[in-house]
Amino acid sequence: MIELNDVSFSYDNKMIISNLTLSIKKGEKIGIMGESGCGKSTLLKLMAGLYRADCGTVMVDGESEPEKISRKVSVVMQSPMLLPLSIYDNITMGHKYNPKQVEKVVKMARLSSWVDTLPDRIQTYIGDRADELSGGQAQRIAIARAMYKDSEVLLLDEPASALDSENSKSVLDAIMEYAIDKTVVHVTHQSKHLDGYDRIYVLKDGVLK
Amino acid sequence: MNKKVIRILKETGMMKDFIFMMILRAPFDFLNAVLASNMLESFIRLVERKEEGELFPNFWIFLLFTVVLFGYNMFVWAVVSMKINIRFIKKLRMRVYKSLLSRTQQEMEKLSAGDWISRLNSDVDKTDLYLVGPLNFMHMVISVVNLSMSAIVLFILNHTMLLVTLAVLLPFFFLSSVVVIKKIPVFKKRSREHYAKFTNWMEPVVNSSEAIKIFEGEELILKKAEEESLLIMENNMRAHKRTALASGINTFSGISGYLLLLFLGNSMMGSEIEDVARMFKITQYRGEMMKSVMMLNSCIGRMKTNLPGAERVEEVL
Repeated sequence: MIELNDVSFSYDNKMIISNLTLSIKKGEKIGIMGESGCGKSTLLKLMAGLYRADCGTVMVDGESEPEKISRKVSVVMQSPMLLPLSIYDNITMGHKYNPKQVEKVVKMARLSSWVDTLPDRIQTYIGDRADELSGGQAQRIAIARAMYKDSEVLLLDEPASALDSENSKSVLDAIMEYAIDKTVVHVTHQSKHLDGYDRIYVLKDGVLK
Repeated sequence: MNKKVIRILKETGMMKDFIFMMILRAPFDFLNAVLASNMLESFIRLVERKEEGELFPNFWIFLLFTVVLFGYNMFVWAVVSMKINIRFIKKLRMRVYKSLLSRTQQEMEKLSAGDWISRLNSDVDKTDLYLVGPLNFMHMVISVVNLSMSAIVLFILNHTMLLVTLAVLLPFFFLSSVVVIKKIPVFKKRSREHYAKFTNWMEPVVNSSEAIKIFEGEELILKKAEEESLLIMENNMRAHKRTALASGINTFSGISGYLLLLFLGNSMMGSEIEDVARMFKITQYRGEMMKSVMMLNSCIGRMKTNLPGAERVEEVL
């Protein structure tokens, strides 16, 4: 499903990823740990097609062009990137409206109880300022968006790091419940978030160990 | 001048400089009118008296005055106004910036980033345009001075002609400035608000580009930005239509007044109340009044166009 073959990537003349090779099968759950600044997020962005490798190949679901890879994956970032639109638009991102699917992902992302209290429910405008929402609410919207895209590959970049322990557990449980048959790559610096994962790597000096 | 703009001038400490600049510029148009009308009267009289030999010395005298007048405008006023204008923009931008920096997070969150950015950039430019831009406040003062002085001279020359001129001018001026131009600021304010929303869309494009790419949100962003862009255009067009209508009314007023004056002038010359030279002089001052009213109308229209920007800057101060 995901193949990284002899991939290197540098930024500002500093080597971040060095000759990395990794193979992830369909449905596998992979955890990648490492200290802050070790290149975990960069590795994830290479897998998401957001960065182009200096050398080597990155292949996701049969695609090797970064632009095409981006279309094949869903990503949940550390800080949710929400747009100054309604909750509905932030989930669907303007794509074809499928009411049943929206309802399903809202429930799966554990947003329903909060959304039901809002004046315009799913159509409520959430503004462009993140602090109008709690970190948990914003992250759940980002997760619902990833679920709505329903890609085979789900990439997680510390989705629970900014949340308290209660919210963190709830958000991660929601993701794992949804991603039971998906290929998941989860980068984090907290090993407790990777319970039940098939493989866990540590990224150090640009190399996976 | 609008109270909010006066406050901006006080806040930037530029009130005295601005008044000084206005005093330097205000009499120019009227002095130019005096020069032109006297030159015309004098030339016609010389031709009537068959004193063609005097035409050339007269020409040099008027040329000298004209050169002095335009030289003053180009080398004295233009330099002073440019310096004051640059200082004003610099001070205002820094003052707005300082005000933004001194705000609490809570206050900053009341408006979107795009709104703050447009207040700091384009709204400051609009304030400058309101005060010194072409056909704005500065020219309004010039046109009022020219209108008043020309009306006094016309009253002295022939008060019937002044009454006829006013009878044509005033209704049209009222129709144009009160009925047509009045709505322009409403459209312009809406346009500024949509401009701020449009600017807001730059933020997710810059900060959330990853999410936009992964979730293929490009079309949605373009659609939303286009919606705002269309609303900016729609409101600007409405304001523009009003300005064009006001210009049309002014032109119609000018032509009607001129025709009326020709009939009246012809009968006055026929009954030897006025001679040709004086009629030309009268026509010149009547023309100055017309020109001033048209200029005044344009100034009011453009000032109303730029005022919402100045008001948004004043809110920040």
